[in-house]
Amino acid sequence: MSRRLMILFFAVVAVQVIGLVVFASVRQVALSQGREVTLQTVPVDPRSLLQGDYAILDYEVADVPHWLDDRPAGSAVYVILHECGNVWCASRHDTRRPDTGEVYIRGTVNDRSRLDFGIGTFFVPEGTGHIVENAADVKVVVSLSSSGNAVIKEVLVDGRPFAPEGH
Amino acid sequence: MTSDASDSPSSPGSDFVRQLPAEVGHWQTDGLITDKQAAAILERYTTSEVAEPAEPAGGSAIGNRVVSVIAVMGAALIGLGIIAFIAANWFEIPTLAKLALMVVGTPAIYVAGWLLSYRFGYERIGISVILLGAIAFGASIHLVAQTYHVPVNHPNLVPLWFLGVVPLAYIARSQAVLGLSISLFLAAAGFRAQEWLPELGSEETALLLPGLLPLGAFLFAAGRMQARFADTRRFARLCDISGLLVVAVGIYILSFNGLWEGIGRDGLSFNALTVEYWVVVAVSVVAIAAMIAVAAWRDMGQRSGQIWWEAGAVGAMALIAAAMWLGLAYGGEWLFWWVFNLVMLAGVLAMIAAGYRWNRAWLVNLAVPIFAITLFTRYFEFGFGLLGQSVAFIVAGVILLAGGFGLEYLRRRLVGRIRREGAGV
Repeated sequence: MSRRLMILFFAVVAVQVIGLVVFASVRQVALSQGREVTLQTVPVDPRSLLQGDYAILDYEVADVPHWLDDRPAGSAVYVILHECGNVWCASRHDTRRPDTGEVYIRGTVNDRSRLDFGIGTFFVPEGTGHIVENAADVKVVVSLSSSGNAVIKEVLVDGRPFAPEGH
Repeated sequence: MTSDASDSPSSPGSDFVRQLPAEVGHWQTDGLITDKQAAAILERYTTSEVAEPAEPAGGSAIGNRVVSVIAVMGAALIGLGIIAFIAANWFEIPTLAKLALMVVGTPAIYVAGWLLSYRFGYERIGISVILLGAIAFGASIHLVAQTYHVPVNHPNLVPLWFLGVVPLAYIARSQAVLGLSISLFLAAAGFRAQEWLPELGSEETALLLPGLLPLGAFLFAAGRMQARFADTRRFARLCDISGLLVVAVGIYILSFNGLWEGIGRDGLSFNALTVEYWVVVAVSVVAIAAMIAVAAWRDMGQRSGQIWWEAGAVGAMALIAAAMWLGLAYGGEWLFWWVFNLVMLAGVLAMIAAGYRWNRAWLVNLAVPIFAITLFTRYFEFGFGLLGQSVAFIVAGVILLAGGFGLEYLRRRLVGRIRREGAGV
């Protein structure tokens, strides 16, 4: 291998590592600096709750209001949130990005006419999915960026943080 | 070495004799020799030596291939192990430790591969370790995604993996890494498809199928362009085969009568497709045209006419894609079923003809199974409902045996003839 190719080889390896670090950092920053809200999940078909070693989460705030029924799948909808008890609920919906003073989450209409916030998957250690599946109440603490994108921070199973060894 | 050994055309090294047809093909492609000169050079050596080269001392050529295959299999197994390790999502290992393991581990694997290949002379093993690094890179992307609960079907994960890996194939000159890259390229297109048609799984999903044509044509054009450069010639065939297979898969799916019956006479609405789909198609068309133009530029001054065949093949792919879009837009039940079965037959015949014309055995080897699969599919699609099941099984078995024998006989004859006349890239 020539010197030029050697440099190129290690440059590509370096770019790969930098890419991984950037990918992780962006998520970590969103997690640590975003606005923290707790969302209530809703039960989904138990047969599809678990696929392998992750749980599928659906949210109360994922309902699409009637006036948005004709929105095609894939289009963005902002859900403006307000605190209702110990979770956050939807107060109204908008197809444009709301004012910065409000707390909102960005979703896209999916093919089941619900909103997908990119937080519908919760990875669990192998063989522990039943803990989420059998829980009576599952809430999700998410971190919201200024653009309304959400990252899962913690899952509360029956009021306690998910911990496979503790359930 | 005696003068006899070096001068006599009947006693060259067996590696030389085996490689000669391919080299002559390259010389023709590069315009160094004419067709007549190529035939004269090949004629100078006996065909028996080309067909049955003597085993070199230590069986090095076959041995090297075996080492490569075993090493690649080893790398793939370890790679799968790493992916399974990550999929197990071990709770006992802290998140940061897992991330650090991959961020440090992936480059460490690359460094080991590089050292083995280029410092210690174990090139085949080293390249396989680099392949392992490429797999580990993908596993790392998915580990980060898992850590932050990014869905596994996120449309950007596999494209990122592909973009990170593909340069390594060319830098390390590894066909195995290129094979992984092409697989990732196709998988990336599949994952991006959810952005092109938000309602995947609906009837409109068929609208994505014509997209396989520009995708396949892109790979084919990439292969044809690479065949014109000494540094990339070794990658040409892999791209050619992948491209033609992707095109064949697209035509094959649309050759099912049931699909067209489902679409009916009303056709499908293209409104379901997003702008990104058309942007990808447009970019592919521009890239394909550019690559064919580069190939034509490299062939300038030659009279072989090969580039016209290749440009014609790409043009045919464009016409087939257009026919697919038209068919899906307007429906037509039986009409397009016939059209795409005929297109498949024409494509197979064109591949066999090109195999003959350009002395490429692999084209025949590719065309015959595609034809066989299409033929048997049609038999099962229409014969199964008409005959009793037992009769259908017996007849199918006889057809498989007789057809398999006939196709293998034909393939051997064609390949034997091509090998006798020399092979090109």
